[in-house]
Amino acid sequence: MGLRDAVEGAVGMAVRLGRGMGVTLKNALRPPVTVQYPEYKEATSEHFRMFPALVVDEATDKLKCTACMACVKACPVDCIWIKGARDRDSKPYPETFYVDMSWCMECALCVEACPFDALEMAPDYELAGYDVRDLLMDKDQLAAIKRPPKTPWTRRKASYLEGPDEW
Amino acid sequence: MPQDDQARRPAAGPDGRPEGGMARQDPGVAAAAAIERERRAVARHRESPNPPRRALAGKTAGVKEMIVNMGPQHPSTHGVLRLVLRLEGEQITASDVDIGYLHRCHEKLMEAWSYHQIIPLVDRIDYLAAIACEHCFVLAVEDLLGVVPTERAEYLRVIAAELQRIVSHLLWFGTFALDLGAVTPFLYAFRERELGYDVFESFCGARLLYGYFRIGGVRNDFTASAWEKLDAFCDAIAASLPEYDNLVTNNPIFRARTRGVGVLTREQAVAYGCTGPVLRATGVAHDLRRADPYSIYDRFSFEIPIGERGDVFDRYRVRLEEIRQSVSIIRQARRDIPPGDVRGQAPRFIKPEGEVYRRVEGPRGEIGCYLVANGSERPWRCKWRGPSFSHLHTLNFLPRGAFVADLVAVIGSLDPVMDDVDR
Repeated sequence: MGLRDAVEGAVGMAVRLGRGMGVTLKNALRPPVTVQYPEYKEATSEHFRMFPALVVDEATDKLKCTACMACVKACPVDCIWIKGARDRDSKPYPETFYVDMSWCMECALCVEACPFDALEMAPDYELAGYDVRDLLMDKDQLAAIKRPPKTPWTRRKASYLEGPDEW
Repeated sequence: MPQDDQARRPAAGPDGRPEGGMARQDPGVAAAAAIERERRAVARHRESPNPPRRALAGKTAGVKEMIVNMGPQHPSTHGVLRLVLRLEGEQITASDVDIGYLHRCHEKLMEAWSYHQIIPLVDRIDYLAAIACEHCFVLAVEDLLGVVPTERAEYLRVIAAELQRIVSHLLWFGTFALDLGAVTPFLYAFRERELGYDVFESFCGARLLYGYFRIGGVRNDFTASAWEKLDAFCDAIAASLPEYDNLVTNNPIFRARTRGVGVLTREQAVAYGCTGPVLRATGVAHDLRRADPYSIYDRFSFEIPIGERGDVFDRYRVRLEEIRQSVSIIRQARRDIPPGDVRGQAPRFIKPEGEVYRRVEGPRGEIGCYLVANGSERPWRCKWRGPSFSHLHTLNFLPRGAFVADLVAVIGSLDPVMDDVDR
């Protein structure tokens, strides 16, 4: 019986290994799911957040921020520095507004703390540079960032999910 | 040596070692002490109930014992785990776990931050199960405040937590197969995992460290595209699990590598405080979602997969089956979710008082948070329980008698996250 068991065992092993190779073959014939970054990029989703950016009031073309320091208090890592001042109409505004992106941990607590909706999380994620000082963003830089219009899901993934049956 | 320096030195004990203090040791004395420590460690491991896997006694008669450092930069130790192995040929006679390379003072930091600020901090304790950590902490603070989260937020929390379990198990599946030399499943698992992270990105904006839970609710509701992605992810996972079975579970080589390796008995698992899949693989059907239902887990029907032998293969099977159960829970929650508010009515400035311990079933096991609040805006003390810490203890006796290659399988099957160990 030893020989028969051995043959059966070998056949079973070959079948199971073959099934595994079948999975590999099936996947090899599937279109690739990788995106050739940076030539191609995926659209980030609507809630994607990277760092706080200042919102400009469209009606007055001024910053919504009133330098109330709520975001400074909410920030766990103290990466926001603000110096408040008053303009000619004695309305408060931020004279300086810095966000150190090398400290920011993208928690968005500052955005939630802001009572004037003057902060929004910007989705720009390509922030790498050669100098860490470039990551200290000032008021003008933060105000210049525009959130792109909210886009629906545009990921290219669907190609391999839309197979006829199990894939 | 000057006279005053001599006076400051502590008196030497009978073995020539200074008694107490942190005085610098003679290198010869230190070496002798190290050898003595090793000898005691070996004696301790001799008492381990795990018999050697294959007898090599005859072949290694003349082989000298060797002490090998595995890690902390070893790729299959999943982070910065250092193991001191005593080898007899290729066989492990003793192993010691050395941890602490990733200590980041989480518990102390919590004492300096307010309750809202701690939520993104606890994300980083077990960075592969951030939602589970958040869930645990938020439950503890809600208990202190007496805040009840809104109904819809509870469902969203369950969905997020189960999604986290799937994603964490997928990462484990890929790296575990990679540890055993199979590169292909790693790529497949990461492909599906990316879809899971896309879901996370679409509903809370971040891919790994979410900051999604809030005291009394969650950060924001799902958008239409998030639901769409969630459904697509569930379908993709359900479809790819049979593929994993064909590729890995039924693979004879994989079975030979994992069956009967790293056997943990039920008594050992309980004694060492193992939880989660490691405990369930030994046959103990203990799942906090069922044993101590938190949130709204008592409303869903799901099975608790258990193993029989408690070996590496059983741990593998339990985790893979948990992915299936999590998909089922997500679908049930998706079906039953009521409309309503998700943010809750918890005040922004909170000053709770009292002590509480809350625990949740994370992907790796029981995550516990013991919170002591003294009425200020920051916790007075927070003790965090990480499941990986308890699991790593078993590495003191599990690999005995196994080969070095088996040890890699054992570490992989325990699924440790080193930041969860050191905190």
